Amino acid sequence: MDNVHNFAKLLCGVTRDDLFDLENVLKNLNKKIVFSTTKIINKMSDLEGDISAEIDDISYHARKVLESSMTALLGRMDPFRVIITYNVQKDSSYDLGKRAMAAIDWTGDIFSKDNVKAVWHFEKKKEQFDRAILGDYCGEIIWKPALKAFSDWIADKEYDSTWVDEVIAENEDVNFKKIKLNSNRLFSSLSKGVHSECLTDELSMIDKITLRELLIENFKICSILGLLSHFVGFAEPRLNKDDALNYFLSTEEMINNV
Amino acid sequence: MCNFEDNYADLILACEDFSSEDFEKYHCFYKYEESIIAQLMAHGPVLLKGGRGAGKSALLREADRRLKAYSETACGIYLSLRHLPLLRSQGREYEDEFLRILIDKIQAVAKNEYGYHFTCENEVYSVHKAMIEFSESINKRVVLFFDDAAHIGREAGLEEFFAIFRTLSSSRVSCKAAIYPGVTKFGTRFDVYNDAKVVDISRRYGQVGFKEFFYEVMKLRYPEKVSKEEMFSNIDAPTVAEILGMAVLGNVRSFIKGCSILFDKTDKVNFTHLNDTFLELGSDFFWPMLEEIKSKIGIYEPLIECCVEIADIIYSDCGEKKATSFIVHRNFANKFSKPLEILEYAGFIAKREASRGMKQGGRGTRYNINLCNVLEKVPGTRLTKSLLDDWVSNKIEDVQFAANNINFVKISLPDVDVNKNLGILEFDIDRLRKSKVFPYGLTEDKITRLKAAGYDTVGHLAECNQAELMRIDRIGEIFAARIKNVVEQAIWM
Repeated sequence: MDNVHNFAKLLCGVTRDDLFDLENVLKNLNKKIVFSTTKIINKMSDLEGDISAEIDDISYHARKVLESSMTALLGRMDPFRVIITYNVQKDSSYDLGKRAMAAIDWTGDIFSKDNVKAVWHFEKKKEQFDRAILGDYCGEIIWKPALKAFSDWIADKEYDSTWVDEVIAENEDVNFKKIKLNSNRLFSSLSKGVHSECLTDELSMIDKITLRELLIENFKICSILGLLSHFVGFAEPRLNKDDALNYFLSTEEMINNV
Repeated sequence: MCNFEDNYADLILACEDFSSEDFEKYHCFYKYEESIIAQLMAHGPVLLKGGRGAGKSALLREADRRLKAYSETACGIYLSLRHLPLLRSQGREYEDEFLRILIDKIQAVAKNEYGYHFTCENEVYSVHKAMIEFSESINKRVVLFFDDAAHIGREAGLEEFFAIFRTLSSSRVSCKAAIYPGVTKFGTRFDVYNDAKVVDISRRYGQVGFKEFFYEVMKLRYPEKVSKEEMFSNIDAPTVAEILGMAVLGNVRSFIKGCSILFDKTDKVNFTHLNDTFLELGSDFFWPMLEEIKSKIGIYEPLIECCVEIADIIYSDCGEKKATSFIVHRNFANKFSKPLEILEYAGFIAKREASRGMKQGGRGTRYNINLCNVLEKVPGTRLTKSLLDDWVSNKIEDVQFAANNINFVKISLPDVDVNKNLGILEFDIDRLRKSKVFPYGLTEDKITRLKAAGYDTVGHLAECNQAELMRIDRIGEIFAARIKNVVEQAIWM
């Protein structure tokens, strides 16, 4: 399943031994992404008739892909955080039964706790400049410049991709807003299929066609961010841009055939 | 001039005018359309965005049809919002009228398909609650398809619509609505992208399935022509379909009109016929359409001259360089956003990229252009194999209108007329006469009969119902329905 590995490489890059602990972090995340993506594809291809038994499992793996992808991106853009967490988890004091204080949190590490106003105001304190990978600051520093760079780069390329068409049809501000909102919505939707908070009949909300669309959206967002990450000069490890685009296109084809 | 009754399918330009049986027969969907239909059928709020004739209604109807035919987990309810009272109201009055129409529709579907007695007060939270109960009772999620929710000439009422859209959306009910490019006022209670996924209909030459899709449309609408061997002995039919589809920016309605013109001209297609078709589409369909749209855009009516000015500049520069696309600096794109949206709505241009770096600095928006219109400005004004190869190869650079472009700087943007109502409603019904731009219009005989019965204006005709029309001599059920369709097309298309 080359396409599955290509998708994982899009998020994690190709590791090198001069990345120190980050190499192990990315290798582990790569394995998780490959495992969960393979599970999803296999289960979706076998899905027929009553899907209630499979919704939980597929939603769980889809969420794993989303979380692992975001963590990989965080690691490649801002490695300090993930390396700290990795070492805490390796430490002999690590207790599986307790929540690790240093764990990667969806709110805080991936999303900001609060919306940011007056982004660069002189009177802001250090701690107000949050480093959430999909927060407004990373939006300004990383994703919006990457979107512009990508739009200019793709202009001379030949490709057939509705995902690319969707990205370039909007400006960087709209694109970043969509990515943020859709990621959060996906996290929430995929959690509903998993958690017991879902007290209604989940099947009526997540039937096969809705599940498929959720999965497409899931992989689309992860792939877009993965692709953009290779346009960020300080993200390591990075792929060659043409390779990144090819991995992106192969992921799109793989998921659309699910 | 084509006779409507004899050439039924090839002249029907709006999918709303097809019966359910004929809809299936005359519509096709390929990979690109299938992905949109899947998003419309799935749970979750969606705004389907596309210009006039892009296929919004067809996609909504197909999604609804498939849910009805195949889904065990979802119930579809399709509702066209082509109701004159909605166009004329806002605020509480709009909400009341909207909910009344919606409740009627839900009651019909609930009773006919599920034997369920749907009832609630004419209040949005009551409808919301009753819909959840209905959904739980039938053990299916509900998908509401709202067609023609927005009218290009009228933004009043949109705020109420989107507030209702948001309120009705729930864990068991999803709303889908068709909107055109240029809907920007969503009101204070609706946060676009947060409260809905926006899906753009953007067929472009080069996409997988583009050629096959338009070839299939050609075959469905003109089966006898396409099956004639001599017709395509110079250029094969799929290629002709692809070229025409590319020229009209992937717009289905314009494509069908183009086929009609082409097949009227010849029994053996060659470049000369394609050339003549392009020119005729430009002069007799697209340009007059701007004049037709003028009467429908309400407060934006004063902008039409500006639209023509902008189109002239774009086509002149692009024609001279044989370019198929242009980039306009962000400053101009923002300043002239409404005229550009009107041009996009009319099929003159199609937005492709929102943010591209420009040679002279800054960033701009990139559009493809309607090749039928630009052909007039190409030196020689002839569609040759060589020109077509240039267009298809996409090797010609975009024309770029930089921030200091003198032609754009000179254009003055008139103020909108906030008191202007939809002009079309006040027009004499002579406006509904069959013409090149309005091929589905009424014959002289019908117009004479309607006037004799006291229907003088389009608005007056729009207010009456089919039963009232059937009281007129020699207007039976079929013609009454047709007259209503023609009026709706005149106002909403």
